[in-house]
Amino acid sequence: MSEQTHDPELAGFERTLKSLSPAPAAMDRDVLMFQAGRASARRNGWRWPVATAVLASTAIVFALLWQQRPAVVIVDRPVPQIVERIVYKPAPEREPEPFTAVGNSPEPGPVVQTGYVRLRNDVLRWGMDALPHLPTAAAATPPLEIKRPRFFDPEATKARGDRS
Amino acid sequence: MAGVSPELLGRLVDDHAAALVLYARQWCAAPEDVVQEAFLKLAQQLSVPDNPAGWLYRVVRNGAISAARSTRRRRRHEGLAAARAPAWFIAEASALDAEAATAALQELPVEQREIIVAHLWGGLSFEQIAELVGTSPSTAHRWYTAGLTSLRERLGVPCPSKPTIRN
Repeated sequence: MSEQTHDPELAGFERTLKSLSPAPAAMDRDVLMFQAGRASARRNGWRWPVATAVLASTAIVFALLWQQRPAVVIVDRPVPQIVERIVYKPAPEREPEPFTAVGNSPEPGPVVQTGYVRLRNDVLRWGMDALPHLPTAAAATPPLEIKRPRFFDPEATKARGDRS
Repeated sequence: MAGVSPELLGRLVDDHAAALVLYARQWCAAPEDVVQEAFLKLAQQLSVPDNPAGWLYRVVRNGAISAARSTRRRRRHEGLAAARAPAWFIAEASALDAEAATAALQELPVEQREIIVAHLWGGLSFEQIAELVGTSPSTAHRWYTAGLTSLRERLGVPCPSKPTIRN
């Protein structure tokens, strides 16, 4: 767009009009520059207040949630207890053992069961329970025999000599 | 991303403050406040606008129109302020009487008046004025010419013979 005013009469009037100077601004330049400096410093000053506000809001929300949390109720539930009891079952009575032959002889003959064979058959049938109770160690152990050292005993030698 | 430097701001204040006040005066009775607010807004910008002068005129225009709306709500106060309205121009040796020129300018439609002020004393091009006002450059030029013609008739200025070419 051309900045030229083509009408010469109008161009002259434009020049005359432009010779008028606008009244100076009734503003204190120094005050304006000072306020502009403060405004420019405030330009980036919103970050910390925003961060503070966000953190404070978060803390308030968590505090409210903590206050309104459901109360902790302690419920005692019975725990199943395992009680061990010893139940005594009566041992089955032994049936009278029929007479059986030992071995693979086709014609078993009348064999008399000795005590050992009967005991073996009982163990094979009833297990270890069929074994008779052993006497206690103290009862089973024979008393210690203290042997005297063989020193020369003239009386014994005499007696042996007498016998021989 | 550099903001407006103090040097640039000081230069803009020196070069444009008076014209901006005159420009804001087209709408409101307290143009200094509007212009000062515009400079403070410019200082708060994170980056320098492409055309700082055009940016300032736009902000001043919006602020002055907004201030005029608020003033219109308080008509009584507006009347008092209008009675105390300061002069628009310095009464110095000129071919034109400052008071008569002010009165003639005030009688112009605001669309023509703001274009004359922005172009003559603000130094804005018609492209910048068109962007500022929201019209085309040719329309802005047409309004400018119509306003000048009207002013010349009101002031009864004799016609000089030499044309002026502006840069």
